Amino acid sequence: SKLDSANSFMNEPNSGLSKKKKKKNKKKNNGITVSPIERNQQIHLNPERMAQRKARFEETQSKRNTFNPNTSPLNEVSEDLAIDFNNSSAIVGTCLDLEKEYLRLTSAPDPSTVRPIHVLKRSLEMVINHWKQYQDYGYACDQMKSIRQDITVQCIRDSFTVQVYETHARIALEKGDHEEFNQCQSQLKVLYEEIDSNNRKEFIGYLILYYIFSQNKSDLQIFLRKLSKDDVNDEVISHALQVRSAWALKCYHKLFKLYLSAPRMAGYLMDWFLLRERIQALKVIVKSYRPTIPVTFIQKELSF
Amino acid sequence: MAYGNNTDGSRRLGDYISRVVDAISSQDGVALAELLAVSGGSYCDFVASALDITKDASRVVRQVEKVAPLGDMMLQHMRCMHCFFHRHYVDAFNALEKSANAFLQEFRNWESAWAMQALHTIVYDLRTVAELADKEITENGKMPDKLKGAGSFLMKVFGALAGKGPKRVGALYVTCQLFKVYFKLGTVHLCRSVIRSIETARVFDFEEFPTRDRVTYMYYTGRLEVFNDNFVLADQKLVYALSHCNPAKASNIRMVLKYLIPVKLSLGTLPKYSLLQRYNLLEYKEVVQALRMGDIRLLRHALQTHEDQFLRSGVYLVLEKLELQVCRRLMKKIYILQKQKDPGRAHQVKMDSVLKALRWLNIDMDIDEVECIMAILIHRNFIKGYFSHKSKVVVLSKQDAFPVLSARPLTS
Repeated sequence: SKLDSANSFMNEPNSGLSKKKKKKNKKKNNGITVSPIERNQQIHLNPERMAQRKARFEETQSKRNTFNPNTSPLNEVSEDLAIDFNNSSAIVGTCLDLEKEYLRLTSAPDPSTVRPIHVLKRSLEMVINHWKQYQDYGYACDQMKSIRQDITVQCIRDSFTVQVYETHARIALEKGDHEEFNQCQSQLKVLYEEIDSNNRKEFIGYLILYYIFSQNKSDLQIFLRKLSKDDVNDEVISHALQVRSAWALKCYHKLFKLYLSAPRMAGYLMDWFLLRERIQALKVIVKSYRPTIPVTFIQKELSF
Repeated sequence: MAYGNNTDGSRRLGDYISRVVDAISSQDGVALAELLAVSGGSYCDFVASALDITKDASRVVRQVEKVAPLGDMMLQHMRCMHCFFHRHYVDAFNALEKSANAFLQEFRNWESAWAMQALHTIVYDLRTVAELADKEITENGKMPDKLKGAGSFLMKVFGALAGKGPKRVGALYVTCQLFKVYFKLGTVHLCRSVIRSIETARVFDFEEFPTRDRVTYMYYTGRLEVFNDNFVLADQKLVYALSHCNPAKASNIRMVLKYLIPVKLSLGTLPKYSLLQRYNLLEYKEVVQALRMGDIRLLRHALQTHEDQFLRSGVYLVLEKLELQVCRRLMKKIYILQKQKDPGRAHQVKMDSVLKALRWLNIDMDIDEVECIMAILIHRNFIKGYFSHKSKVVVLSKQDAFPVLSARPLTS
């Protein structure tokens, strides 16, 4: 396989690849692997949403060439083996593999296993297409982490870095992986202070919703202070702010109405705290309404 | 402003250093504090101008008798004063950090707490110089990190003081300085570990700390409770701060009131207008008025007008939640009016009446949203009664339909 021919210490038999990962290697290219369909996903596989999602990814890819993920690139073994590992400044990778598994680094990386930025750009496209087609979160997340790793060891810190983290965040959002989303999102917060991005305001909106999800009121308050007048006019941010104020007042009616009109990917984030808010709302309704209340009313109010 | 020659400078420096040595050997904490003060200190200019004209300051330091082991510290400290005087705050901070580290090491060796005031002076300077340094860094377009560094050092100092013994009495001051750092940096969650160390002594000896420190401590911990929506605790702490505050210090009282008023409002106590006027807290005037009158429009207007101010002080989210209380007041007014007209049926409030009232206030809400608010009011015990969905009427309890706010069980 491609990985064997790379001259890397990481492919030794006792390189730390767990049994699970080895099994996954074998299964990787065997047809479609679709992750188990949860209740929410039924909405997500709805053709309208799929089209929306395609449109979203097209936006981020508009300037790049399309690439056929099925051709395997030639793998050139680096001839320059006299690499100075003590040089702590950025290394430049020479690996041309499009796919690469994620393995935690335990020492300085070998440049022949690190992909240079032009390869990484194509890898990113490949992962996006793979995710769109197969919905294999395990694979996508693994590949994204390895792209992130290659970026970090080469000290690449520009708009491509932002793009990578934004993409990984989006994939995590769709899948519902809170921790991964939070990781990417924290990195983005730091990156946005140095590098601008068209999607900055969108992700600020998601951050507000994330604070609501994690019920982190103190950080939320501090964060609100930093918003500029310009930010507040953005579609995602203003929606998120309205959600926040409805949530603060516990006004479930407004909250669920806003859920139905959530822009971009905000709906995915709101899904994460929807159940909790529904239970709260139900408590209020059950206590206050008498004698009976039709189920259709609840259905409408809580956007079922 | 350099005058005199090299020997003049050396003599002046030597003079200064001898005084420091004397203060240390006679364990005169007050004198030492005065000698070491950087920002707002009386010796800073003196030392700085002497350094302007002295060629080899380190030689001067070494020449003074008995200066060791604090020789290095003095060199760095004077360097700090020099940079501070010439407004090179980053350099000043770096030098001060080194000096402070050396001082702390010596301080640990001294048995009694005689040098506490000097330590406090250094801690205070570290914080203020760090703030100035960070401003300098930001002006040059880089990421500021000196205040963060000051915070780490202060934690070290805290660690040296917080154990049992005569030095513990100085720990609260350092805690308060740490609070100021964390609040400025926005990393308030770091306060928790410090609070835990102070509050979990086997016998909580809070009353043994100096009053000034206790007031400051309660002020900051009260604010933290406000952040976390724990209004009862916030009330207790801020009231403690207020009652122990020196009545002459109007600006301190104002600071406490700024946070106490929103807390009291949430608990149902309204301040007198004269209080707001006396302490210049007029931004709350409309809020209080809105609560008195049940005027939702006025509350929203007040929040919008003073949005920046409220956000900056961190009370915006607290005031926002008052909307429910304003609704309650509105409902009560409607009820009272109905009672006047037709006492027999007053306890039934139609949704239509509420909508009419809201429309009169220029507030556009659809009937579902109003229903939602009614449901919330009932759930939180602002109103006792129930809501009939079919007939769109709020049926109020015949007894005590509007329970006193402070009697409510406090849900989050």
